Amino acid sequence: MTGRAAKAVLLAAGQGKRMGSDLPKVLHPVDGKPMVIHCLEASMAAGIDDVILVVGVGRDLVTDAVDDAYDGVEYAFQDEQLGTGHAVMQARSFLDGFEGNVAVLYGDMPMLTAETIRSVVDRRDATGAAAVVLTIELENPPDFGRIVRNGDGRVVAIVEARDATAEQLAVREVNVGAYCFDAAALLGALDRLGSANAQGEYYLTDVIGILAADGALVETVVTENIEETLGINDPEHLDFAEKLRHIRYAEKMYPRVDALARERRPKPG
Amino acid sequence: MEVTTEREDGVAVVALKGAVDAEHADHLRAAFGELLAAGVHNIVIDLSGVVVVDGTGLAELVNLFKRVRIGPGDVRLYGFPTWVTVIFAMTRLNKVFDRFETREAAVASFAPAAGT
Repeated sequence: MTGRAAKAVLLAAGQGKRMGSDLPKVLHPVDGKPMVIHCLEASMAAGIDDVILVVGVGRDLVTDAVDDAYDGVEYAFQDEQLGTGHAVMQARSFLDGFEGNVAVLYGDMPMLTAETIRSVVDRRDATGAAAVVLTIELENPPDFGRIVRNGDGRVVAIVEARDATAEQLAVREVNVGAYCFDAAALLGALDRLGSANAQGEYYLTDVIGILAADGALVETVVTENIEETLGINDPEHLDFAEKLRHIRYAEKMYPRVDALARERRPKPG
Repeated sequence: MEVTTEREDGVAVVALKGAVDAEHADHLRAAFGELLAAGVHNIVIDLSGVVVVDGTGLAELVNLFKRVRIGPGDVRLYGFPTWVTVIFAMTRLNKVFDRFETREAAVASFAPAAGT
């Protein structure tokens, strides 16, 4: 790994009510493995071994599953589900005094790759930005936060879909849910987070607006890999993840399909 | 390759005819792009006129599927010629796309959440 030292805060405290199961959401398997383990492995493969896992609902089940797979993961506890910003606040004791990069990742995004995490961290190292946000441009964005830019093209805020105006909802660039922050900038902004929004929660995404309002630089990395954006919130998403696994197999078969297609086409003349 | 699009009950029905392959990928991508730009996310594709499909053609179908499925939409198929059936089985894409016997069944499958 090059660049500044890095830690990852992996958010894994949610219950996942829409999963229709008593199992903590992040323990649902994708491709035969709990999704949180996929996320942990992606972080480690990106060169970030220092991981703080924020757990809440079913915390013992989650920590047991993670400890069975890997040593050295540290845990922060979110006893009340007061939002993603609140979840990151619970990791504060692991970040106080740390001078480096803090990647914030979600434990329900098992398709996010190490390469993409690395690219977000590398962008922060290259630009010195207070924060780097992974984004994607979609024609029909689902309920992802919209990336709001000013006239100069600089990111000024992320607005959650449920809080967005019609104009903001028309924005095609959306927040995927992977970030890299300067540690001090993150902690300073967390101190100023409020909960005056539709959910009455502390949104991590509001950190971006706070930093931008301070004049700090917020950069983005735009991915074109749709499957990486998949956050698993319900059985439909799990089904999609399973289908993406089949697609990966299909993609390996394309050269064979090409060969069969060549045989099938009418010969010239 | 010909691409014909119709709307029915809030669903876009796209009929493909000819070779769904690298040579025609730009045409296919543009047609799908128009649908997406128009906010369509419930799509039925009629494959009955497809004579050959290659990896690039499959990739265009898969990319469309990913782009609508990440949101509230889906791509559903009907009208499988035997050769295309074999390709979908070989690549396991028959486990990715929901397939129907008829256009009516495919369109009706969107009924509970119809809308584009």
